[in-house]
Amino acid sequence: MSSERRYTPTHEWIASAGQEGRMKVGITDFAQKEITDVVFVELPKIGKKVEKGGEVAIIESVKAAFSIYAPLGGEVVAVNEKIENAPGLVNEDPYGEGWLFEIKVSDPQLFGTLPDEAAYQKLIVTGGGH
Amino acid sequence: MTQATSSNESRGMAMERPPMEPTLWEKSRRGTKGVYPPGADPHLVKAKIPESLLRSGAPALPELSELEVVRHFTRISHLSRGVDTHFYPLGSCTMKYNPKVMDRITEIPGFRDLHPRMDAEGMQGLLEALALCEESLAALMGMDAVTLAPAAGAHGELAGILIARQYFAAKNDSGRTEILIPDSAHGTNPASAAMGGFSVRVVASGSDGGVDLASLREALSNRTAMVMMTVPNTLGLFEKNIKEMIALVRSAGALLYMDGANFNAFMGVLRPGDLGFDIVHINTHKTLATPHGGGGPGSGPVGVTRELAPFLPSPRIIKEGGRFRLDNPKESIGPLRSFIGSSLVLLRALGYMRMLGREGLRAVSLYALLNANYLRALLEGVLPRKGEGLCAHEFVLSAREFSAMGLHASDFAKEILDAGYYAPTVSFPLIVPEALMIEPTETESKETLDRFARDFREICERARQSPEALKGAPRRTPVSRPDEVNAARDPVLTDPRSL
Amino acid sequence: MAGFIPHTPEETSAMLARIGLNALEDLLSQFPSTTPRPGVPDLGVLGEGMDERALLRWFAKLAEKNKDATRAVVFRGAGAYEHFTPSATGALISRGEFLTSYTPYQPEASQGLLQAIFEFQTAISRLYGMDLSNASLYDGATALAEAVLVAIRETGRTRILLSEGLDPSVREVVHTYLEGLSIKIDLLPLTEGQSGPDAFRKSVGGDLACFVGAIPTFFGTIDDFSGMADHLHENGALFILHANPHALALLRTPGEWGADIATGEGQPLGLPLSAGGPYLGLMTARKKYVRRIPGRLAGLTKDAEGRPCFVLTLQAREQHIRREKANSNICSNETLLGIASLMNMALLGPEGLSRAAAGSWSNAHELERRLTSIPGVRNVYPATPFFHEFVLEMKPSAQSLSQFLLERGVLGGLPLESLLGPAWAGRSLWCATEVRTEDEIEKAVGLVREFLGQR
Repeated sequence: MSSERRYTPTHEWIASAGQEGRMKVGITDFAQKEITDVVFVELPKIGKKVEKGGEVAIIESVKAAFSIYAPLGGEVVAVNEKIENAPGLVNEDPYGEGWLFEIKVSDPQLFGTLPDEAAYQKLIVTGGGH
Repeated sequence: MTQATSSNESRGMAMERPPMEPTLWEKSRRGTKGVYPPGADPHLVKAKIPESLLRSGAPALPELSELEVVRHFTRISHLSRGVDTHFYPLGSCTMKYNPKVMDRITEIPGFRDLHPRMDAEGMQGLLEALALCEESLAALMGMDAVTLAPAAGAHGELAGILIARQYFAAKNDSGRTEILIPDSAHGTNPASAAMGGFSVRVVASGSDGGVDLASLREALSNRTAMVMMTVPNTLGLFEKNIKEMIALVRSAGALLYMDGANFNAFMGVLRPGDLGFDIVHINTHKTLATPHGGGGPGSGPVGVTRELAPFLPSPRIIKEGGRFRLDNPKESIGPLRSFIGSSLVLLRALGYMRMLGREGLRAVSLYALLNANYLRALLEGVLPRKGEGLCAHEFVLSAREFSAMGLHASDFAKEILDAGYYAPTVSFPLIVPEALMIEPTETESKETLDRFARDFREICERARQSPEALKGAPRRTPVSRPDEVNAARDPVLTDPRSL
Repeated sequence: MAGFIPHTPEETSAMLARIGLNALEDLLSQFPSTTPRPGVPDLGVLGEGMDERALLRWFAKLAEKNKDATRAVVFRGAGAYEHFTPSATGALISRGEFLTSYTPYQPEASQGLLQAIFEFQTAISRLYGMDLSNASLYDGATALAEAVLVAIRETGRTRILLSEGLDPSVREVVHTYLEGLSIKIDLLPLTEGQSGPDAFRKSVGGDLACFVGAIPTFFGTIDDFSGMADHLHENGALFILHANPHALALLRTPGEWGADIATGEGQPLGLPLSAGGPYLGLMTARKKYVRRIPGRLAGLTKDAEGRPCFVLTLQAREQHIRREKANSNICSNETLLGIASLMNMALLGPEGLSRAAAGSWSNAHELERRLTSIPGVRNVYPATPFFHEFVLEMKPSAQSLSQFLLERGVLGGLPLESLLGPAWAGRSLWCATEVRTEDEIEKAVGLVREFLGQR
């Protein structure tokens, strides 16, 4: 499964959601540990147009707020409503139940240009910024 | 929690938690009579107002006797700490002694019971006092004109930002849409800029914690409306290059704003207006000893240069032929609040200035510097400090070395509570990891500072020996380590018993 | 002068020695030298200082020049009201643990303060009929401005609709707050002191962020908001009500009208007139907006050992965390005034508060009945129910009447012309609260009669 995920230097992951061009986005395990207990996720409205690297959502911990950026450009087509009432899912299962939103990516070809697992692991070691 | 208990025993301390107090609604008993006010029978009145305009039932307020209410608030007061009860080294908040004589000023009926919509003729004494307050603050700030309207520091910032907007609009200079703010600034600065409709550009600090001149030069442009600086900065350091910075901002055609939250460091010593600032706010609840009241009221007077004076918020106090009146100038940004200002807070501040006088106010800053530097010297080598040499009225230590052991600045704060103090400011400024920001203020004695330093040193030694012990703190407060995660995930903001 | 500095000369010397300095002035080496800006007031204006007794006498002398409520009986409201305050509140609120504490960021050392804020939030929420309240904002006007900003952010729309029934001073503050944000502000006129449903429907559209109504209106009338909540929600706009908390002891609440956010000036909860401040900004909301509203919030939780306790919560909304993305720039608020209002509410209880509100209603109606029985004096909205204020009209200038009364120990109705324009010449806004007595009402009525008789 993890080989299908790609990453960003700002610690988001992106993976195919099954349908053509639709991709799920979440934060990495490394990021959820850094953030500590997630208390609230401000999700985007469905239909929101996003550019690669643009702010899409905000994750709140008790004492901090973190911007979540779009790994690729497109349109938000779904959000994970479950985490509105159970934000802890982002900590417990960041790659599964704790996904954030789905984007209909405008140029799916770009997926391959994002860092893969190995490249992302290297980034963490050298210290990427959130 | 086993760990915490055993550590308690080893230190020979029993658990000494004072009991919590039930809420007003827990204590409420239906039908209990409280204070009997002047008034009328609600049923007779309700019969005369159309039912569709009436509330369906009485509000669910608690029903208690007067004595029960007095005991309730007296008991819960024992569960809180103030300057009156504890040393409060809370950095950037200037928790100095609030003189009791000022409380009496606010009890004088001529001020306390004065209606804000009184005709000018009936408020000459108030206007005279407030005009003198403006003039005294103008003298301290070195500014041409002062408004007393802002209800707090952040409100003063908003005033300053709206003034800047109006100033450039009057000059038809519409391209200035950015405000530059150092990364070490209080969060209110960027938040105020955004509220005023500006975009915020962050200027990085250099390695010494001061504003980096190169970053400032690069950020300045003809889009810059204003640069907001905190002086001394939030590390308690006076910017070494301040004159160069001011010259740079000037040559870019932007205004200079001084956040005077730290004015206690140089009151009567150095005037922001003389340095070249265009807009300055101070916090009376910090520098001028008005009480913080658990979060407010405050007051945030703003001083400006002559060029900006026409834009000050309305109403303005005008003196004509020995009489005072209120005026709403055309170019003003408009009113910031319903009425003239937080008069009772401002009268306390005026009282403080009158009582101390010019030399007394200067002495305040000298001793604020003395106490901060003395405590800094006592704590040298205990934890690393951000910055070198003399500090201003406060200094910032970092507990970063303990991160690897799982200890954070907040753990130190809890242990300090147990030692019988309020805690220093933690996790601010953001540019210092695991920051502990300490501001003793001038009203604390050498003895208090010696004792605090000794206790703080002990806490740090204990943390090195057994880091786990700190995680069990505090042990002597009514509660310990509230679950903030659950409080934020599923907020309970009103008493369920009231429903 | 001492400046409340406890150091003995020996201690000062020892401390300087520890730092490695010789004199206090050496501490100033960190500051640059400057030259005084020309034209700025000299530090000499600060004077030489004075002792406590001299200070209090100096203030007392200034105070004598003010016509406070003990020198002129108050028949004026217009946003600030003289109400009954139980004596116990003064004694309790001056306790140093409340007065001299800071924002309760360290919950373990601030449980009393946090509990008081939590109880304040509870009392205000129940009074307004809303789900929740924050810990306070600066005053009623800024609270409303902040509520409007919530609606603008929430809807992403750029037009708002304000009722003419809002205090014009409050409306102006909203204007000031929105200055930098390119928002269109429309006014919904009143007809006979109430919002007309047709005009309302015409003003609501898909571009509207919110409508704001007032309980009661600035003119004292009780507006009817029937059907408004549904219509606004159908159009995706928020419904905001700005309400006087004293009146809400009797009147239909914002919650019952279906408001999304309700704000108010808390001063009428028995806080002193205070020459304009500090006052108390109230903000309440439906649960749905809990993460949208500005200001501090105290919440109930449990501590590490399972004890129920209180903390500041949802802090990630606030400026110290979100900075330019925060809900508001507010930091200091009016906690102490909030706690004083809570003490008043707890001391009076539901019965006392309703009784006081009924007293305001009945004194104001008695005053209105007697004043309108004077030939040449009429109530401008005779057919509309009012609470404790009403607008009177008479031929002579309202300003000269006000002056006549003030010289005789009465603060009469507020002349409206200077506030609202020439159409309001001869009109003044009168108020009587529960603290007015039969004798005081008789005195005011007699003086108005005398004034008109002279003409």
